[in-house]
Amino acid sequence: MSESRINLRNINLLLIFLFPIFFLIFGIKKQNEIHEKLMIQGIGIDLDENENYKITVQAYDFKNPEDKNNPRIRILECYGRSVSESLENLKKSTGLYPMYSQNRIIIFGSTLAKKGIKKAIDFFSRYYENRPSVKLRVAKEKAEDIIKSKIDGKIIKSSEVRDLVDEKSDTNILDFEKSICTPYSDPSMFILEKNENEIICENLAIFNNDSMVETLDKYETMASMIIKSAPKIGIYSFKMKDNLVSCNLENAKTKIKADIVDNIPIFYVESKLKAILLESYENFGDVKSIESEIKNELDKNLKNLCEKSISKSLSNKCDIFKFGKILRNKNPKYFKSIEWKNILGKIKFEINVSSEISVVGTDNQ
Amino acid sequence: MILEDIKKFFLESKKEPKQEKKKTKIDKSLKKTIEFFQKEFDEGADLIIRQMKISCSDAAIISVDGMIDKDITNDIMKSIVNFEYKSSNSKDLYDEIKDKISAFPDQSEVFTYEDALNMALIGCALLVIDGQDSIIVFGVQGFAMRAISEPTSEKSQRGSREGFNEVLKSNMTLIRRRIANPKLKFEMMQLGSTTRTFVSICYMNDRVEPEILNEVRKRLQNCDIKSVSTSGCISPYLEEEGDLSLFSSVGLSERPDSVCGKIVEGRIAVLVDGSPTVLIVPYLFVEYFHNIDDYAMKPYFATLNRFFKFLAFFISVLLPGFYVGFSTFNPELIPSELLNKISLANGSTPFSIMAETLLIHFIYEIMRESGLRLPQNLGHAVSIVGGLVVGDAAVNAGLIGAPTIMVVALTAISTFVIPNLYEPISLLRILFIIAGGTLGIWGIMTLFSVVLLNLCSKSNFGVPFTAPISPFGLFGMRDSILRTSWKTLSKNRNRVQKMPGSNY
Amino acid sequence: MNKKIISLPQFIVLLMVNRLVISMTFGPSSINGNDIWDCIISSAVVFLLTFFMVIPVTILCKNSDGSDILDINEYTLGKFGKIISIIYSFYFILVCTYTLFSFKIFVENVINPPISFPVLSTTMIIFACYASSKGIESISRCSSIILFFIVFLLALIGFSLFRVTDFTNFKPFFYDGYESLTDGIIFMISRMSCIPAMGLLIPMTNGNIKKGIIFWNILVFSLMSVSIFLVVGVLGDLSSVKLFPIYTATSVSKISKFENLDSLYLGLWTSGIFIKLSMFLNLSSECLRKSFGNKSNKIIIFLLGIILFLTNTFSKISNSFKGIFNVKFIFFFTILTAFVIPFILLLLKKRSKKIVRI
Repeated sequence: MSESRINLRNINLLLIFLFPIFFLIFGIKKQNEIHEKLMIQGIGIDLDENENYKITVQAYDFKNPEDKNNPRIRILECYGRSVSESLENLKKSTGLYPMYSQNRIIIFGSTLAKKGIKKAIDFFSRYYENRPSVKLRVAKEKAEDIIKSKIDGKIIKSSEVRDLVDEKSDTNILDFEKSICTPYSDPSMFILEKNENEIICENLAIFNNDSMVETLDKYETMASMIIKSAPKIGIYSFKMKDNLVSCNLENAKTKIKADIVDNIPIFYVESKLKAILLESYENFGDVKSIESEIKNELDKNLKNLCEKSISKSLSNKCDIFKFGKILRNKNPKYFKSIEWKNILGKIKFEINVSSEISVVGTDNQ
Repeated sequence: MILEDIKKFFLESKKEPKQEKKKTKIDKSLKKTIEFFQKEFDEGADLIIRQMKISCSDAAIISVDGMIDKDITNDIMKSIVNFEYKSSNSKDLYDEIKDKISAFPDQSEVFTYEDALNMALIGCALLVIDGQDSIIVFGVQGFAMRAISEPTSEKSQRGSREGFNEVLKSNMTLIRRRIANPKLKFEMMQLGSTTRTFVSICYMNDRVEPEILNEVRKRLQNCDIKSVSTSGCISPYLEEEGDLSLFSSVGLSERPDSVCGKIVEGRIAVLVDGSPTVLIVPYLFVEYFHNIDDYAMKPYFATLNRFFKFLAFFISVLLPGFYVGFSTFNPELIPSELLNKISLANGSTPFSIMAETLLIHFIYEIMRESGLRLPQNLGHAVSIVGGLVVGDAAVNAGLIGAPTIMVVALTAISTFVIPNLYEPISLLRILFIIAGGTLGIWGIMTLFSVVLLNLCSKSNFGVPFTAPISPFGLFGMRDSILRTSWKTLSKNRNRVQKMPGSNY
Repeated sequence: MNKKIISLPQFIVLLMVNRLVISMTFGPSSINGNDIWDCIISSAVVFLLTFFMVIPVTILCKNSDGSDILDINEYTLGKFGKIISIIYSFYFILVCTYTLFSFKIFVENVINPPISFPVLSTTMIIFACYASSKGIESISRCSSIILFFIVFLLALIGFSLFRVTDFTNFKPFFYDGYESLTDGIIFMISRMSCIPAMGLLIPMTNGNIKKGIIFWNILVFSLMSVSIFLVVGVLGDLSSVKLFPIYTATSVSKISKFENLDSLYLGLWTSGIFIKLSMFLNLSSECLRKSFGNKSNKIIIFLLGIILFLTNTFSKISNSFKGIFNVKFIFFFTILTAFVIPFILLLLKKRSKKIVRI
């Protein structure tokens, strides 16, 4: 026996059987199954009178499903001094572990948004289960109302609320973090407004650092989307010769250039976009011949709107269009010498909007 | 005692050197020869000794009952007995029979008792003449055998319908018929100290790598097996020493056309008497994904087909592991609609996803095993019962979730795309489920890397098992993952010994 | 004498996978919290420096008829050469420990999945020991398949990130000073564990080594630059705040319905770490085997595995132990093993040749 060699084949056999046992014994950490988790779909955060957080959560409960094919959609409320503390209470009230990885949207109440949302968002940017691509919105009044809102007696799903805005124009956690980590850029978020039977999302909230300071109306929001080079902007209607013309605006491409004149930064905003003519009630005759007329009118209107939205933003010392970054890249020395936020109200800008009208369907003759 | 047993388990027992048996020369006395056979067979019922007189000498025909074709033997004997002999002594009589009378093509002489016994055992008739120290052997084998039919495990759409059967000679003929080239060689040897089974090494002289051939001969000659009941018995002896892989680097085939294809590419086929499965060495991992039909189709579809086979392999090994791992640890990776379905199903069952998946796999394996060896009609019944019990009743009773059943079913179907890899796949699948259920995607990827490394470290007869994928060879790609057209392939065939990374 | 067992592409792939694993951990913490955008310039400088640093190793191993740096050690320095072999072995095991340590920080601090890390790391060590016992040839073959998957996924993620790249994020170079440049250079050089490894790998490689090294260096440089470009393009100034910015950037990648591809990326990163551990364990065992008179390789690997296991467990308990993971500590050893020792050996070799001629 002393001259025998180790029998590798048998050791191999032994290892193959030991390997799963090793895993099963030592590897299993108490892990909750998916159905034991509360799959959070949307979170609404409000601030109450005592400056405590009131969090409304829309979540799927798989343990007690509605029927065989649908989970129960539960609306839960929790309170606490911090976001994580409040959310921890969910476990206590439901017996289910909250799971954030499928969360679609976080909505902030207007009171909280005005006070600053940096603290409220910290948990979501730190905790590993939260995804940085979760969308952020502001409620016109209370976030709770949006999360709880129903249509035909059924709760409106958070995923549907999220899809109200085109993904590329929306703000997510990462965008927000990016904007507030430097003093020369500010975030913006879409505002959710609850009507009687629906939720509308067409206005934009402008932030100064992490506090909401101003809102843009529907058309100003569209203008801001043009400046931000959004691929889908929406339908814009305007009056022309006492007739209403509607165009679908898309594929905006904006170039912003910076310069310094008399020690004051000046920005040249050049936007190009595509406008698809959808409606024109009055028979113009040959539409093609007045195409340039529509274009001029549209460009003029959009330019005014863009000016308005930039002015609103700058007058509130908000830089939602990344002017600061552009200036920094163009002239770092100058940028270092100034206090960007102080100079924001003084900066000048020139806007030029050029649309390309596309007439589809009929030639209106 | 227990210590001894443990030692036996972990240590290889000392190998005893093989001793060559001395052979005994045939005695001139017919009586002694007959006595030898009677003693060896120990009054066995199947030994037939027919004594007679040919011309002036005593003679005997020795054969084994059931192993010879009686009609042919009868014809030969008639011509021998009825001939008018000129010779007066046994020596001349022997030469006359040997050279003039018997025109039988498969005829030879043996000079030792051991050889004579061997010949009798494989179905030859022995003509012993008194006073002679050699025996004339007539190859008159004629025993009942299974007809050549389509192999059940390797069916093809457009290929030949012939498959190997259990008779070595017939299998050799099937190969020879397809390669009518004198360079095709068969080498015979006997393996198994008890069964003394005939084994044939088949190769093409001008295509095979001599070093590989010598190594095959050496490994077969040194194999100290007692009984060779099927080709699977000698397959481990053709593997590399100390190879601990789950995958086998010895190929198996029941199809003469695919074996011939391999032989033409420089491989060596090992045919074992009594087994319809032929062993092929050296064998590459990619060959598990090849099929004879690939070569009968247009290259585009054949390539797509191979791609699907690789996909099926990955699905069958990894899908249950990923399913368990993702749904337990990384639910964010699963699209939400799908996750909802999984969660709903999981919520209505009593087990965890890992336990559920393992359980359903065990049930599936048991059902497969039970259906496999039963008579065909019963096998169908088992599969119907299995399908009903597991597929429907278990879901309705809320024992198992429907997505789990679907994953297992998809995995099972994918496995049958590459039937030769069934064994390693089913083992790996269970390991991946456990790795996924305990360590999530991290565990799966670690295990995957080890399996990959194990595959990559394998090489048989100096040819890397994973060639031409890694080490990569563009030339080898023509007929591995891809299948180029015959016009390209026939210009310069891939030789197995020329694979990248091989020693030759 | 070493047999030429790996081909030139395998040599490049092996070094590439090792480099990729390190690139993943690149972040502001590696460069004292400075701006990582400037590190594009650092990587360009390191690109040039690498050509300079590999000269001694390449010349030493290329003209040595299959002898590796350890053989040359023993030949030129005699018994003293054994100490150098041990230094190399220590360095290689240090690289393994460092790799496991960064893996641990990553898993426990950033992702914190509900799995047992000790079990994961122990499993990885056991598997890495098995892999290293299979030899460099097997590891290189395996690494090429893993690299294929990594590159495939990287291309997907890179493509998906490129679409969300914001060009205004690219600020002028050295906007916040030159510190990040020097820190970046020190960090990148300290992770050049591939150069000492070349001392053992070059003699095993079949092909034009010069071309291989140039190609490898270009790949490393482009990989580093592209990843910095994408990370800064996607994250902007946030890239200098996040602990592992490359991971954060991958977490927003999305292909159709499949979001959050970072988990898949991390899975493949695990495979990369496995390859790195296996390779350096193998090299470390090779050094010890040569200095302790050809003892069985498997026993040495087993012992090294135990050391790795202990350091991995120990690093959890002791804070002072973390000192050896300091960038400067590793930088010193990298320079020593990648440049200083080969350079001295080269000089000694040339001198001894001259003496022989005289």
